[in-house]
Amino acid sequence: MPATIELAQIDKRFENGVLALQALSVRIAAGQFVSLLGPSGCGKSTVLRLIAGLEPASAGQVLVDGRPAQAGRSVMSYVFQEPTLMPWASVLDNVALPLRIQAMARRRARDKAAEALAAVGLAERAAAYPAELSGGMKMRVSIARALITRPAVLLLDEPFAALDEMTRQRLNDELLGLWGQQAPTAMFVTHSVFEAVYLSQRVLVMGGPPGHLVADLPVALGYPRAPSLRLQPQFTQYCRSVSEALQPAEAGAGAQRS
Amino acid sequence: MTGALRARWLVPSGAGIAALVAWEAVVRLRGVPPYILPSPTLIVHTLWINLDSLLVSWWYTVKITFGALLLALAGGVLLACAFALSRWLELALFPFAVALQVTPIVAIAPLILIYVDSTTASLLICAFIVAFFPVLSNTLVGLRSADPNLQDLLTLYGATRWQRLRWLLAPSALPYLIAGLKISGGLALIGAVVAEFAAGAAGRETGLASRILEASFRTEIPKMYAALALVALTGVAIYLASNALSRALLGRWHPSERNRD
Repeated sequence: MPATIELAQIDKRFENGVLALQALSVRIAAGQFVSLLGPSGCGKSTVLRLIAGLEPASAGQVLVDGRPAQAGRSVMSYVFQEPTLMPWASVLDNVALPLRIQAMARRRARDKAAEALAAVGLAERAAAYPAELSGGMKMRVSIARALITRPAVLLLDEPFAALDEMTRQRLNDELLGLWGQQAPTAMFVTHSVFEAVYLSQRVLVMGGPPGHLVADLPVALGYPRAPSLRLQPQFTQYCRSVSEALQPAEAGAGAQRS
Repeated sequence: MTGALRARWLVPSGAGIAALVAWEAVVRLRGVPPYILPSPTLIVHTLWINLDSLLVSWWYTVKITFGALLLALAGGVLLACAFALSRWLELALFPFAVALQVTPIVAIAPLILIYVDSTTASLLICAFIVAFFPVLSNTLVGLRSADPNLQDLLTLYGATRWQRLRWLLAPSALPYLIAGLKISGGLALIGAVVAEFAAGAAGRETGLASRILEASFRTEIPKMYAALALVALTGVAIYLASNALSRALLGRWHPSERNRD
């Protein structure tokens, strides 16, 4: 079951005194695909870490499914910018890891992992080690691992930033397909306006530091989305309005930095 | 690939054989007396004549070496785990470990021989002291160098401490532990031999150091060389064995082994 996410008047100050987020409030409906867009250093990743319960908020409340966010409590998955695979384990064992932590028997966890790998088109590479795979394949493994627990919330922190454009677009489509099957609440951090519009139902534009919400733009395009959508005028229109919202945020960040 | 592989064995063994031939030639052509420098063939001959007594001693030294190495492995890993769990424990005990490490073993050995009744036990302790530090410090670094994102991932999935150790910390520390073991293997042998020199040739069960001392008292130079050759060969065998272990455990995934020919 997908979960709602609610951030109410969040402040986040790190131990070194840096104020990363200020008075951030947002509510995300269960099963929504939301992108988080903004300049570097505006606290996008911090938002994800707060929702995951990996960091506490300094003020305000983070609620997942109506309960305070806490790592290890709700079924949540996280995809990092790097594939973050265990280099010493086979691809199959990497994908099975979340189930093994949940104390599922090895045999059964591996069967499920094989299914998850098949879903990302890597059934034949199950016995390979991460170092033997390309960047795009490693990221597919990482996504398969994230989805194997059928999470209520899927957090993705610029997962495709390091990939070439073609691989990136293909993985965008694969991600949407997988999301469509399980429909978790998805929160996708990205630098790319096109990626944000192509994937999501809603784009949150952040400014900062300290991070705050600049714009909250719905993307009223249905699913499933095909690659040809990128060429349609509606899509371009959405990209334009998101870019326009991003401009003052970028300018603000530039002024802060100089 | 096969060429590179062949070169990896042929070049060092070729160089070794060339050195032995040159040694033999110099001794024979110059007529160097065996009590100054025995020729390799004479050393092999001496080894063959004294094989029984030398093998018994060799086995004793090997037992001390591997006993100490196993103790160092167990002690080093356990202590590293304890330090990784408790910063206070590390702050309190690490200076002791360093002090033991930097004090020359020949200076400590006589004391240990006085305090401990059994010579074998004293030798084990000495060799252990020399061998355990590389295991401890390397494993500690290894435990601390686990990928922070993977740490977060395990936190997110609610892994227990034991699961974290099993799935993340132990495999992350393994390459470091093995690097430590490669150093400790040689050190354990050195510790075993040096401590026996300090102990002197006494007692019923004695190792190669006692044979070397004995031969030196009687100025049996070829026998000294024969015992020395056994020590050296044992050291080389330990080195090769630790390399093989490293390849077997890390060969498929760790860059240190993967990028080799």
